[in-house]
Amino acid sequence: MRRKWELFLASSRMGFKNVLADKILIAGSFLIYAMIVILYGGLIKLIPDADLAVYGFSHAQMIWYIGTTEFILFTSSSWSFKEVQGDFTSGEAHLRILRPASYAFVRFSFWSGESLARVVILFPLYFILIGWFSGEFVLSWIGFLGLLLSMPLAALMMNCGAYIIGASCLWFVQSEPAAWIWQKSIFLLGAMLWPLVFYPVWAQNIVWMLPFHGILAHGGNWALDLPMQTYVFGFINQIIWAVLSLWGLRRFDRLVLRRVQSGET
Amino acid sequence: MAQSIIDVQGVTRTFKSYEKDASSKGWFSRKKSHLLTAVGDLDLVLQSGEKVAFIGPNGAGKSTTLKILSGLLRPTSGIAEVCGFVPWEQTRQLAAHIGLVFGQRSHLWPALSVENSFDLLAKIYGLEEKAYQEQRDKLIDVFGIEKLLPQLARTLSLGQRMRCDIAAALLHQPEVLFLDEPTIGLDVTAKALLRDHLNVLAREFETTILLTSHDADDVEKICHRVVLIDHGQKLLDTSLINLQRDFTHFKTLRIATEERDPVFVHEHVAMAERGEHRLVLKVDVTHIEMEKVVSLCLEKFKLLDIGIEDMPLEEIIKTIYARKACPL
Repeated sequence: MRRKWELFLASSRMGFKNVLADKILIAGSFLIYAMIVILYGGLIKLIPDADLAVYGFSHAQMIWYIGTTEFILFTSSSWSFKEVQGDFTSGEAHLRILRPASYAFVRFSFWSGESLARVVILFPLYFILIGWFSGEFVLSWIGFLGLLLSMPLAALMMNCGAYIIGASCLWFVQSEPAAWIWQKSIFLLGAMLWPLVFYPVWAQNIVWMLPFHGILAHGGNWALDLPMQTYVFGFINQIIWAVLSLWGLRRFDRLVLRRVQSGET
Repeated sequence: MAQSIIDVQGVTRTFKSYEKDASSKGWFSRKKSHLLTAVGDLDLVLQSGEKVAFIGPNGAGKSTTLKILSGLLRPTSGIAEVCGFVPWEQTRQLAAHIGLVFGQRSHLWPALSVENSFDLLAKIYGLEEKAYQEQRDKLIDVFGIEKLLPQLARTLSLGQRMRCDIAAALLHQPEVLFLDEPTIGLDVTAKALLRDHLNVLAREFETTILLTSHDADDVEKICHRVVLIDHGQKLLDTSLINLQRDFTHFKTLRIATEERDPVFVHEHVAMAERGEHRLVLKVDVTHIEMEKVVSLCLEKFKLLDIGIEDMPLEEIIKTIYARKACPL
């Protein structure tokens, strides 16, 4: 276990350094983020106050909600699946899976470091941008702490998902179809644009049974005034799915090795 | 007596090959398939410290065998042990005992410096800090890569990357090193340098080497034993010296003469090249002794210089395959 932890730290340190080395990329990613948030935030501002008041939300809270869900998305590894796909299609992965430590675990750790670096760099900018654009800081101290706790769990789930999607090319030739489904599921079922309370009750029930709530909606919820039980259940849900994601990654890693060994890729 | 470190018995690997059916009308029509044997009933034993070349034409089954022995492929039948592990069953355990160099693939992370890649590999292999530092320093010395350490792997030239890659494959001091086309794409100087490095490390670390290469020079300069395969079957398993002795049927004699236009005509001796004051003769040593040709030359010409070259290994290998194709 100690060895695994050391490997996790070493890999994530490399991931962290990797992000720091590409300053233009991170600046570009913040500009895109800012543009999207300003665009959606502008649309939200067009919604009459009374319509939002029905749900007990203000414009500022809605802008913080979408700003936060988008922020979680931008700090994660949405496109990292391509690295894994590239490794398997080029054969580079052959060297990487023939090592004493799991390739999936090293990748996951590396991406975790990358996610952390993006959060460290972009968090102050996100905070200032959304505060300025919405006109107020709606996050309470508890909300702030809750967000800080839920972001690593969301990143964990996304990183596990990215590896599984990337390696799906061993079965489906390309990873893009799985990535497309995953991404759209995160947008829709993760309630990226609108808080879950806007969804019909049956849809809310479905979302609560899937990992997508823990990936985006739970983080965004900290900007809203929701009943305390929503946050508690959200956390429990997130922890369960985080554990399941790690378990799934471990299982999938074995399947990947067996698949490669079968020679049918 | 040396211990066997690789033991392969009756390993066979077949692949299903699907034929495109021109008459098929839809997605649901059944494709015709047939089995291709990449490796057939292969037996191979390597003793610890041996340096063995595994050679054959494209599609002979060299890489498939290497993949089976490293744990990347499961054979259809047969048994094998490498360092006491069954490669396809105990892949992760075996990984700590073997090193892999696949010519076109890299151990290094393109976005990281060579130094950082080495550090990360040390963690992946769970190396003790002191042992890692010692081994790393030795390898840096052997491969002359000190100046490359701070460079990002993606900025290295092919020759530089290969040296760093082999060093990376040896950080954990593997007992067996699998080299699959290690000099592919390298220029003549880089190839020579890499071969020298490999010889130094084989002496220094007593690593068992199993090499596949299309470059006969790799085989001659690195290995002591040669295993020839074709269509997945072993054709020959012998020492390099025996191979050269038993299959050499011509040698080249180069002479420089005082005579301006030397001419030499004799049965079983062909003039391969003629020039001013020089002559290159191809001697069929299966029919005439080289000593006899040399003495005839001494009688006929006033010699300024003389040189005898063995039949190139590439020619020997070609001969063996040609004999197999047309045994008569």
